[in-house]
Amino acid sequence: MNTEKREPLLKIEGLGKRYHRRMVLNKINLNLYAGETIIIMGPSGCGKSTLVRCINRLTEPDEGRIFFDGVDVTGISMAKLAEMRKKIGFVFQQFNLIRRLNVLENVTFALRVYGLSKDEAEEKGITALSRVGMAERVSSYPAELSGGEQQRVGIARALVLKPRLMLWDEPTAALDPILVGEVLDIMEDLVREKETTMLVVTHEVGFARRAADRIILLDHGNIVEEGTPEKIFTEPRSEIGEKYKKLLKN
Amino acid sequence: MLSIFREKFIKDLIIWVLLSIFLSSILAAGAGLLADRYFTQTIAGLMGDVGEYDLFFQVRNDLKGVALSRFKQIIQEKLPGAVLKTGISIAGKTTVFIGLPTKYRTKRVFTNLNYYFRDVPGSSSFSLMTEPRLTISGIPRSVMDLFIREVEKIPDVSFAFQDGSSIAIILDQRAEIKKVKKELEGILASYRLLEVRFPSEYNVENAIEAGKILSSLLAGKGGVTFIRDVTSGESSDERQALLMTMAEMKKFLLSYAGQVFIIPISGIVLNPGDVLALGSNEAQPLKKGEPVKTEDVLVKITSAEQEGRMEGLIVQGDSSLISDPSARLVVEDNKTGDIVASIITDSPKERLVKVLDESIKLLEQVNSIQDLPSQAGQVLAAAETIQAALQSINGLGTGTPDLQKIRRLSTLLEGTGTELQNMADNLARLRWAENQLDKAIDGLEGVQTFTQMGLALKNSGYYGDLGERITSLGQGITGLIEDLRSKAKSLDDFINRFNPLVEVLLRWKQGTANLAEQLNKVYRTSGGEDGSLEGIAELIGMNAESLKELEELDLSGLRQGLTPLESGFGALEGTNLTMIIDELKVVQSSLPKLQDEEIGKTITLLDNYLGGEVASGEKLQLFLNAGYSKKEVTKLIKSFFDSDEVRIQSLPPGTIQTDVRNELSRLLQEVRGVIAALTVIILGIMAFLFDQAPVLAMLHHLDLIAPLEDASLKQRKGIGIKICRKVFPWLYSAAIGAIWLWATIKLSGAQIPYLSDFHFFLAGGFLGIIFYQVVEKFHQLNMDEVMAGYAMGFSFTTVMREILIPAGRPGLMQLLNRRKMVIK
Repeated sequence: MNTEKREPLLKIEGLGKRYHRRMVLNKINLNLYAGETIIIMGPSGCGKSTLVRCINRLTEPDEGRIFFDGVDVTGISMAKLAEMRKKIGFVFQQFNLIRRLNVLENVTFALRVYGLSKDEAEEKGITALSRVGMAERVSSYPAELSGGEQQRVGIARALVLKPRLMLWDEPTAALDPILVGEVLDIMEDLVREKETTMLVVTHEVGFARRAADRIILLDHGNIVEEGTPEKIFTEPRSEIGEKYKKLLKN
Repeated sequence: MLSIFREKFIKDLIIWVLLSIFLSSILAAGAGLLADRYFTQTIAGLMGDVGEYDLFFQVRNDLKGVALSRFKQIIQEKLPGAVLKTGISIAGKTTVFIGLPTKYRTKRVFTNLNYYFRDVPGSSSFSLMTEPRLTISGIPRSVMDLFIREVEKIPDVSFAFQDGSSIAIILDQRAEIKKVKKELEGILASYRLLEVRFPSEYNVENAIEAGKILSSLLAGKGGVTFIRDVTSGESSDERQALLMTMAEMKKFLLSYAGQVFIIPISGIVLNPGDVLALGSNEAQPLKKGEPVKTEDVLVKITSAEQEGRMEGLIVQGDSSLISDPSARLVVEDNKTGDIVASIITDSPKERLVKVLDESIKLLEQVNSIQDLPSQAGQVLAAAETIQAALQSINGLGTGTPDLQKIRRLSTLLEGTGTELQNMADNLARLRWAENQLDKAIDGLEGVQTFTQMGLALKNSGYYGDLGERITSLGQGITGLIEDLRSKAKSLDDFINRFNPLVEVLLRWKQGTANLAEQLNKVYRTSGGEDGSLEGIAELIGMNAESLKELEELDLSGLRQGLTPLESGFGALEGTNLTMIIDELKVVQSSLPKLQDEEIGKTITLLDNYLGGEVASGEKLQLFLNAGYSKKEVTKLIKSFFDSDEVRIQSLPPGTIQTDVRNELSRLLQEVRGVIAALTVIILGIMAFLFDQAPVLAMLHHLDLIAPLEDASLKQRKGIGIKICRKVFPWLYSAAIGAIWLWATIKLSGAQIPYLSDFHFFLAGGFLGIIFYQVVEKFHQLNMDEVMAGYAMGFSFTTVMREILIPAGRPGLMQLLNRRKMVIK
């Protein structure tokens, strides 16, 4: 994909974040173009989740700027931030479903809050749920679902708003290995259909190799390597890259 | 951060605050009212309705029947129409209530209630229940009348009267108690009770007397326009009378007891309190080192040396027993020491007894010589007989005495010898009587001295009516003395007029009795010359002058002179001489048969009691107007006692108390207030636990709910913003707590004694802060859901309304929030 001549959908400049005195993100620079899928990988605690949370300011960055669709996310009002967040879907590691709402309500929740009628919302909700194979479970409550199912509802909830950017914060990390596949399949479908731009944090090397346009390796808050999956997994330049290469071979 | 104030949820919060305050106030006030109602009903059950009963008795259960009959009888006789009700029985006593009809609610009836119900078996006294009523307690009895007069001038006061040691003020039915109370406070504020305490070593002989003198001294000075001495005024009138009597008794005993003056030997120093021993047996004088015996006389020194002598009090024995005036000091082990002083005693008691004895004896003799006029008459009759006989001698008074005259006179004198002797005897009796009168007068003057020296008790009632008797006796004696003096003078005059005549006649009689014979013999021997007879006549005192005097004796004038004497003695017979003798006998028998020892011990005992009672803590109490010059009065008092150690304290003169029901109502109002306050506090805790907990918990995630609008600001303004963001949650918690508690307490009428609104405000703020500090321990937020909400672009309001509040504990907030939820 040629990214040189277009304006990036997401532009991160010198993003920094500290937790107490520990540097979690160190002047991260990153461009993400519309339709592109970037997968961020790295060891646990390297700042991957913090990076994606900073993008929609679920975590406040300490420094740097984040531009989404040309707008500086770090310098906007709460109202504008909320508007911006509507355009950015977020899939959580722990699914983060609302426990008091059933599957359909969870998916249509935002639509309803934003003023859609119940019927309209439900129609869209069911469409989204159908896409993730959960249309049969509209009345179920989160507590009644498996991890994989909950995550699929979480994906449907993000998709229903038709986001321009989808942020995935280790969507399979909390899943039983058997259930990982059903989530990854959905994600691969989404990549394949190029329906949205995706920034995915994951440890799934196979998924990364198959789905990513670019892979960014993060270590100790720094981007240590960036490149296409072929480049990263065949000619890694970093220690982390080497490890992933070995992991992929095994 | 300011963006949070633009959130609609702030409006939700304000509505919740107002509504929760309002509802909590109602609930708290309701709880208080319920308690109030319950207690009011309980009181009504115990005491009847307001104003229903006036008197409350407690009657022994075993005498209940008799007591009730007596109550009914009293009601029938004195208070017809009054209502009698028997209440509950507790601890062996039954409560009895009596309600008086309105017509009996008068001062006269209330003042007599104690008299009406004085003899109810099994009930000692009653408590007043009349309502509305106020009571002033602590007012000294001696100024109660003054207060009652002032109180009765207040509008809405029906009447006031002394109820035991308090003043009961009965108000009109529609009286505004608060208003009357305020007026009473005004009256009380216009007086002060001044307590004057002496230093511990300071000795006030008679505190009551000192108080009176001091109050006279202060009157009109230093802004003192009204002052009364109310020393020991806390006690009853009877008690004060007792103290006065005791003080007078001490005074009497001191004047009655043997006065002992101690003259220390030069160089010997004696001190008050030292005890001296004196011997009572002349044959066995005291010796040094001997133990003091019971028969020895002991004198305790009571005053310091002044002009070489000291005063003492006999504490053992009697002054009459002292045989040797040399006094030995009583030393260790109760043994006699060296001779240290000589003693002079003077016993008014002994003198009084003696003079009474003698006076009675003499007056009885005077009484027995009431026949003096007849004796004087006999003298006169005899003189008349003699004069008639003398006049029968022709030419008795002319020329010189010759033998014939002498012979005839001799014969005549022999013939009237009996009359002459009677006359002489009667004159001798009269002279004796005159002497007795003089002695009686002396004795009466002695008695009079005692009656005038203040020995008599002023306070009648002590030792029977001895005081009064002595006083009236003194007056009687004064009259008697004057009377006897005039009689004695008349008698003296009479005697003086007859005495020369009787002396002449007796001398003649003696000379002529046997001389006539001898003269005849002489006449015969001398040849009958008259010159010899003249010489003989001269020799026996008979001359022409005396014969003439005899012939011209004015017996009629003497008889006239006898008349006043006769009538005077007759009048004496009619005087109160007998009565005075009787009175003297009564006084003699009534005198206390006390030895000096007993008197001394009694005085010591009186001193102890008076010292402890009159000036408990050595104090005087003066009741005076407020607004006096403290400085000037203090100066005057200190000057009066000549001591800077005197402590002066100004106290309020009394305290106002409401009636039992009012008092109970006041207490119950406090209870109601406390119950309401406790309800408020409980509701407050619930409000925080159930409704405010999600909000306070969210404030711990301020970065999420109110992120900086420009993240780069944090780098530029750093510390200021950090502090603001740090302080804001605390401020919010404190403010919401303070406002909530203060407003709810205020609206509900809740109160806790000693805590003001400000205290509640502070407490609320403190509670809010504590809640904020610990909220996450009892209210765990589901941050995953919150994150999901924010990730979907929800605002703080939406997150709160749609996610956090519904997920929280059920409460008013959740109830209010429900209508605003999209998915209910």
